[in-house]
Amino acid sequence: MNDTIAVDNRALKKSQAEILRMQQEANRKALMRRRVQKGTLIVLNTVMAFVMLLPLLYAVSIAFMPSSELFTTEMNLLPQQPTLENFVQALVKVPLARFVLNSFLVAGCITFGQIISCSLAAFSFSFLDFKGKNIIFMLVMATMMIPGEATIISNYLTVSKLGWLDSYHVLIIPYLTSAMGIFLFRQFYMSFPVSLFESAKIDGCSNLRFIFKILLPLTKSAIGAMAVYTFINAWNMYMWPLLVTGSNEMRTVQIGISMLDSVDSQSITLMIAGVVMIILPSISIFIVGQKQLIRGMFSGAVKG
Amino acid sequence: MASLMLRNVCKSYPNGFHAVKDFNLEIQDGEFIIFVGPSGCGKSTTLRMIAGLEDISSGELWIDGQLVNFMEPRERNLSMVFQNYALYPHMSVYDNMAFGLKVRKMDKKEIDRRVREAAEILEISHLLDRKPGALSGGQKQRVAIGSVIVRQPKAYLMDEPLSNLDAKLRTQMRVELSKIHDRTKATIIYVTHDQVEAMTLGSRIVVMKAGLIQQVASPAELYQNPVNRFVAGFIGSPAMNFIETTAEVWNQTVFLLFGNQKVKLNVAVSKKLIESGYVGKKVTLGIRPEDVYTASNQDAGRNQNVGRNLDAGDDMGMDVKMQVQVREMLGAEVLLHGVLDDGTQLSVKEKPDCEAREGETVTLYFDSSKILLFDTETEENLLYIRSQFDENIRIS
Repeated sequence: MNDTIAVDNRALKKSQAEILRMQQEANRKALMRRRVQKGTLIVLNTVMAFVMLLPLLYAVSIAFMPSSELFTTEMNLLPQQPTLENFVQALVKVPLARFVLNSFLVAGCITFGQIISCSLAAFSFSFLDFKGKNIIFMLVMATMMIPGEATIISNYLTVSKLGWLDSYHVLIIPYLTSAMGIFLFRQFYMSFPVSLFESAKIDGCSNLRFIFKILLPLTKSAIGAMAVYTFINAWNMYMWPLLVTGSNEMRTVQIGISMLDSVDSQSITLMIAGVVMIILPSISIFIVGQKQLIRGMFSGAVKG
Repeated sequence: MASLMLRNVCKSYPNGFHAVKDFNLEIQDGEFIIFVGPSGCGKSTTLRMIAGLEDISSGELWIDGQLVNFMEPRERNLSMVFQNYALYPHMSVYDNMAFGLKVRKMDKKEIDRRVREAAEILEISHLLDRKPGALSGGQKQRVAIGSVIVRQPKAYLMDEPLSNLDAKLRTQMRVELSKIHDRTKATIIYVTHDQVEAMTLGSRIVVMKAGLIQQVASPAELYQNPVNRFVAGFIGSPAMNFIETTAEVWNQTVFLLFGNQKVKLNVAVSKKLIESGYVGKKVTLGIRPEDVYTASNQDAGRNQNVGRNLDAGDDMGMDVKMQVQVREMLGAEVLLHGVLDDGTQLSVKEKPDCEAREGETVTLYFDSSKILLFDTETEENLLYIRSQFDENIRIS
């Protein structure tokens, strides 16, 4: 009897050691599999990112190339003799600084104006009760379905009748509000606790005071998202500024940069150097504001 | 502080739904009024109409002799505590409490004095620099109450202020609220669906159902002299037992028959039923779980009733059989839930030494002096006494 127990115990001990070994083996395999999966994903992502970024990276590379290197039959992906000449020339040939200033001014004013007007409109659509509220909101939303190109001629005729052509206000005023902005703010305000508004009202707070003292400070991420989105859109405007401005004093960068590529003096390297310079503000604003942008776009989508 | 009067106040919505119907109430200066009722009974809507957050569809609201139907919330000089506290998350506790005063452009020194005084009362002086995010639920609720106190408004409105707190904190805050009321002598209108809050806090309770006031009375009167079956069932925990019976008369004594069992009524009640012509008709018997005794505890129950001027031979002389289904031990007492032979569910509150177990059949004795009778159709209390003053008189 005792012998059998001893034998059983030994068998048990052996199998325990074996089990441990098998477990370790299985763990190692699982770890390996996870590493291979992760590694493959990283490689795939890197390749994809490279493909996506290739035009941008190639543009940066071209900006540093003398034009003689670009127009050859060899495939020059990187400049052989890097030069800053293109940047210097771009700054000399067109008043790029003025264009950048114009663009900053226009984009800044549009961003500021849209934040104010859209937040006020969104406030009334989400906190106030009035007749026809939903119908008016539908109308505002419906304007998003009309493509800008469809109204551009009539808009041009309107502003030219007003004598506004070739001025800052023609670049700014038509863009001081946007249905998209109203929608974005409204969605944000819908998740704002109504009791805060009611509490403020009972406390004796006026609507405007509520907006500026309570609503706006508490919806900073919506404002951040809206600011980044609007600024980049305004910075990248092309069609409207092209149509309504004529002089160098009023041109924005996007128009100004295309002047570098005229029929008479075609220089791709020069133009690309200009492009590289003017996308810097957009990219840096996006990098600074991307967290706000993502948070703003998705807030309210899920609880938390 | 102020007195309020609501006269024929109604609230209807464009879709035809009537949330509040013909609400009439006079609230005296310094009263602690509770609106209580199940969800959707219109109690919060009424409070919001008083605050000015909802329009009054018809009727009049008077505050201190002034008609305020069309006044903006800020002009009514009331203040409100919300269920979710409604603190401004970007402001410190101090600024939260001072906000209402700053908006009214009060002198800074006076604001400071009032905020510190209120913080003292609520024991939150050490939290004044914190933001609401760094506070616990109970502390947030104190701050919310603090911002109401500093305003020194005409009345405090409270919309289920304790429902977000855990049970222990709720009990604690209930006591605090009671103290605050004693100290400030404020007129308070308090909405809750928690009957314990209603019973412990209110000087008068307004019980509502489906937009209609059912009864306005002091907690004790509501408990002892409910106007109808709804109020009787709503107030008290566990809820009152109801048994559908038929009234029959033998020798001038009325018996209530249900299933194979019967309950004998005492002389006074019998007389009243015969006079009102209920013999042979359906009557709903109502008895609270604490007024039912199991056989072994019958003597204890009888002893309790000595001194209540009861006819001892008469009141405990009816036995009913119940099969125990669930026995809930609550520590200080035991709840027995069971079923009678006609299928009626019944609850009994007993002492913890009660030995009845699940599956057993126990004999129950009803304290006949505590029996209430309701018209089965109209649900009115047949023994309701229309006196508002003497809360203790009952037919026995």
